[in-house]
Amino acid sequence: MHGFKSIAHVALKVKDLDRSLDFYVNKLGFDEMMRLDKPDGSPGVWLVYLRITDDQYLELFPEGQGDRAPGRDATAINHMCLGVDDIDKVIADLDKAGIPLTVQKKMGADNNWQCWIDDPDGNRIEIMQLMPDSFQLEAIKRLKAKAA
Amino acid sequence: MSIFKSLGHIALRVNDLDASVAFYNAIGFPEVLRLLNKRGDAWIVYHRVSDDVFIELFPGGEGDPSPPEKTGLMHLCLTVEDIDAAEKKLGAAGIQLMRPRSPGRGVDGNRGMWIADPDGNQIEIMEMAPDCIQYQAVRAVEAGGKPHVLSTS
Repeated sequence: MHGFKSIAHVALKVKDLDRSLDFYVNKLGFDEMMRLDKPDGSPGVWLVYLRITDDQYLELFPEGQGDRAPGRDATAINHMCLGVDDIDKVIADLDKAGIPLTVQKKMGADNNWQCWIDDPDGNRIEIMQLMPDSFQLEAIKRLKAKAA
Repeated sequence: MSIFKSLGHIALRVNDLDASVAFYNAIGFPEVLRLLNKRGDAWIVYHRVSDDVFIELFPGGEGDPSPPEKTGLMHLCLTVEDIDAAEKKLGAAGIQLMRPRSPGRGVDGNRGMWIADPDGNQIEIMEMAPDCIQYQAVRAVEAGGKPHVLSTS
């Protein structure tokens, strides 16, 4: 082990900062924490921090080149996943916010409930309710039993 | 408040699955689970970051890696308790920093460094200081205050 504790943030390069802030703040409900001006003093925002949890953030960097995030088969960071406790409630909240699901709720091959949305740049976001009998949690149990 | 609980995982589309599995094992995130497709080939490999955070590797990446200037997911950040110890352990595992670590702290009050994975995805490594600007901003927003705007120039 190398002392890594967790994923602390994910950074997005966005085409239109206002459009992305409307999506992540007004619709998904992540609070804006702060924004930084550019280190070289040139005009415009360098990045905006949004709070997922007290120690997990999204960073939005404006002035993305290109209109659309890489497609699902491109070599790249492919998608991010947000965890939820009650996927049905979240789907109802997304509907109220006017965000369509790109993949409807289904049971994944890993025994978890999932559905998918796109952000305004086409970044794919998986929404997952981790279930007690999921492959992931069983794998973690095996690791712990081995360590004990 | 948000309708979401936390980040659950980050998925990477990779060019060379074996190289990426070896890299993520080497930085201390062991492979814990592998799902196979109907042909018996790897579909998704899961590496454990913490008990409820994973990195998923999907083989079959097409093309060169997406550069950070391009619209899309830009980089990941991993936190450590002790960045000096982490740098030594990475060196022992044969993983070089993208550039030598700057002495002192970044504009946000934290100590940081960067590595790249086999596809060139950039990974920031941060030792978060208790009084860093991120924690100050979270405390202010949770207390009902407005988001901070800071100039770094």
